[in-house]
Amino acid sequence: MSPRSTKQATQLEQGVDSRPQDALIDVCLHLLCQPDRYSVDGETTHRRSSLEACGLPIFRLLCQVHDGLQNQHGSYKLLLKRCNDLIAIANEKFYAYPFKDVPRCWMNLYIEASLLKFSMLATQRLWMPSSGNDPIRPLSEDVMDELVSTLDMALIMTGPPSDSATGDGINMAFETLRKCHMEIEQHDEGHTSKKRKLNTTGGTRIYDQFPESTSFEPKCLFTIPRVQSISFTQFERHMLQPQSADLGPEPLIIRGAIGSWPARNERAWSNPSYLLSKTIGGRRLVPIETGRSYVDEGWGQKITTFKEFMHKYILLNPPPSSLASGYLAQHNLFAQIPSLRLDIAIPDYCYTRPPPPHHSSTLVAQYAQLPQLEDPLLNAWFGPAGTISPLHTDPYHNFLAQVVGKKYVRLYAPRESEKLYARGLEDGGIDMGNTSALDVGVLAGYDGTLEEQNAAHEKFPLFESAKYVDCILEEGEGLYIPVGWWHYVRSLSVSFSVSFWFN
Amino acid sequence: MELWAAGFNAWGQLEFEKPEVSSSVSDDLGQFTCIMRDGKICVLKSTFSTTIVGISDRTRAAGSPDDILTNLTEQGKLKSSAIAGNDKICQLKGNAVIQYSSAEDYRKGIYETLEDIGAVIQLEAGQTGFTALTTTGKVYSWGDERYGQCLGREIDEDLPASKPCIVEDLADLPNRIIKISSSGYVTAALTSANDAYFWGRGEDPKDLISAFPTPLDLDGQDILDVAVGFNHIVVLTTERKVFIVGDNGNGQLGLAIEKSDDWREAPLPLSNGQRVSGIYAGYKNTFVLVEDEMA
Repeated sequence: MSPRSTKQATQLEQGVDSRPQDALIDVCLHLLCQPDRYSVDGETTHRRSSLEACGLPIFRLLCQVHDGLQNQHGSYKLLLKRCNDLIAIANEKFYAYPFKDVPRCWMNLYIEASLLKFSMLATQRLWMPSSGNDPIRPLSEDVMDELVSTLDMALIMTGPPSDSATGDGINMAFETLRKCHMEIEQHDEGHTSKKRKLNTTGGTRIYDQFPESTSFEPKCLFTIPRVQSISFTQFERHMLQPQSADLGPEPLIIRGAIGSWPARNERAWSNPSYLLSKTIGGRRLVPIETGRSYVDEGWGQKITTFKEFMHKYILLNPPPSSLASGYLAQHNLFAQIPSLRLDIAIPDYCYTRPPPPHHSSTLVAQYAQLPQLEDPLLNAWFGPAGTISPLHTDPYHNFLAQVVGKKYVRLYAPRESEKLYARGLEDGGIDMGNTSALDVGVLAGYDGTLEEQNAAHEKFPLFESAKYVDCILEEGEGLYIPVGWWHYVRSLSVSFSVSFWFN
Repeated sequence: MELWAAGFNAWGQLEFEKPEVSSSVSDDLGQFTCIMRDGKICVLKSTFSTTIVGISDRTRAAGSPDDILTNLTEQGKLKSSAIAGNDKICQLKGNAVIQYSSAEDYRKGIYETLEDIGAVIQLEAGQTGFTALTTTGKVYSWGDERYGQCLGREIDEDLPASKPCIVEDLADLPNRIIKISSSGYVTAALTSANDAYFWGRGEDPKDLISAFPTPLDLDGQDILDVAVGFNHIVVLTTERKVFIVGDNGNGQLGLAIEKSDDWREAPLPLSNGQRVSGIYAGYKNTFVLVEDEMA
């Protein structure tokens, strides 16, 4: 018996008190919706006044539901409905204002009403007439789904809570939910495994690896140099003393940079079951991009469960041969699921003192205005084979860690900018100046018909003479992309990368 | 006269007999219920938390008004003001329309006077914009450009979204517009020939609403009154039948369903000799005025 399962067994033997469901109720009544949450004095004054800005009718209703929850007083169904009504009112306000102008009070209402709804769902048992010594059954799948989506929607719609106590409470709630999920899994193994095995949706299939890719692989013509390892000082020198002053620091692959990450070892992200367990049975909500690439017609974003994303886009066997249509891209998954953050480490290189954008970058002035980051910005990039990030530049130096699978990356130096046809201001005033109008896939002959390829070359004649370097970034490697370098990225298999932006 | 209602009642806005300070949360009315009797009743305003009606000799309020609504009531400016979902407030001031850009500006008394569109007899607000009906039967609209469909008109440099501009499609009708109604992302106009036109953002109810005024065809029936709620619409035919469509999450349709994408007749268990004389749609609730046929 592994240490982990011993611990679980002990918990179960300890009886009702230590059950995760009871811990969850405690979290709700003492951390998320504690009795003095909206009291007039002390640290809660700020929270109270920010909610009163929604108007007294709304604040009073919120308090009534909160009282009802604390005392299990009133109709459970009605109070739950009022939570939904308050969430709806806040949500309606999000759309009534341009996003940047949404008054903070509606964000706060959305969070508070979501915490109340979550706590209502988690404490439903307390409303029931006591049934003596009946064993407490695990939370149902539906309730688990709704619990997770309620909190995740609040996080996605309003961002991380500004007060750290609420943030800690939410993390604690998710951690407790994960234990509830493990309890359900064990319960199922013991009792209803037959029923679940008949389930054709594949909900209980164990996936220990991602499907193999048969994706087309571009030939690399101007390969980016690789080193096995490089010291902090050497790396800094690489950036600050470039071989060519006209070019500035150049891209570099560091092969051994992430070898010691738990995500590459004992907590392997290459194991789909591990990722599903980290996301509470795949219930966590994630924002994904749908459509071929963000510059294409029909591109969109939606929020879906991690489980649905995996089954609909990642675990397809055999994988579809066309370009991918679902991509968990540029999402700070590690703020959302802090325990995944423990599976990786910020490479030391991100704490070097990198040079400003090279003078040949057309966006040098714009990028130079950005404030110095205290810590690197982390983003997860998880998708099937055939995801595309169209040619673009970022305002930071980037260390791209390839945790699972492989990607084709093509890079153009800032001085090639003139040949890369940057887009400009587009409909709705969105500045697309960091994105090229080029479809590298078509121009390089990877995608499209011969006709489309010829048409693209005719339309963008300078592209042919633009100099680039490229690589197939293999699993376990890290790629340094200097600030201002244009990059086109294409996954060649199921791929999970983490980018670290620094300046 | 009787006032019947169904739908959202979180603040007791459908309970005129409820004490103002009550500790219990009110439930919604899932079916149409008589909530008030008086010699004369008209609904003056219904917001997300309050209903204010005028009866024979005074006004009465149910639910929980916020400070802005209380202030408007005290000043007798309920009917001449419209509050949009984005907090902007428009108000008739003499022959002009003035606009406060937020509730905060309203409290401070900071407003701008909008372009002259002639004397206005009705002013309505949706979630992100306003609609005005003039004494000459012309309809003007203005609001957030992001929801241009809600304006029912072209938007360009000469006809900016933010300024009152005429709803062209309604200007050339053979019959004049006598009433408008707006809420959420939908607006309606009623003509003197008993036709109803709708425009807005056609999310819910689906397929009924487009970006330019479109006449409603309810099996050829003549329309006597229209009322637009947050995500539902109510019409009264000259045959005194009430038809409803849209969201029913709070029972605003008076039906035991989640929502209705098709027009349905509202279930109103009226007594013999009673008929519907008017309709009004609140945030997520519906009001029906019932009179004795002999009256």
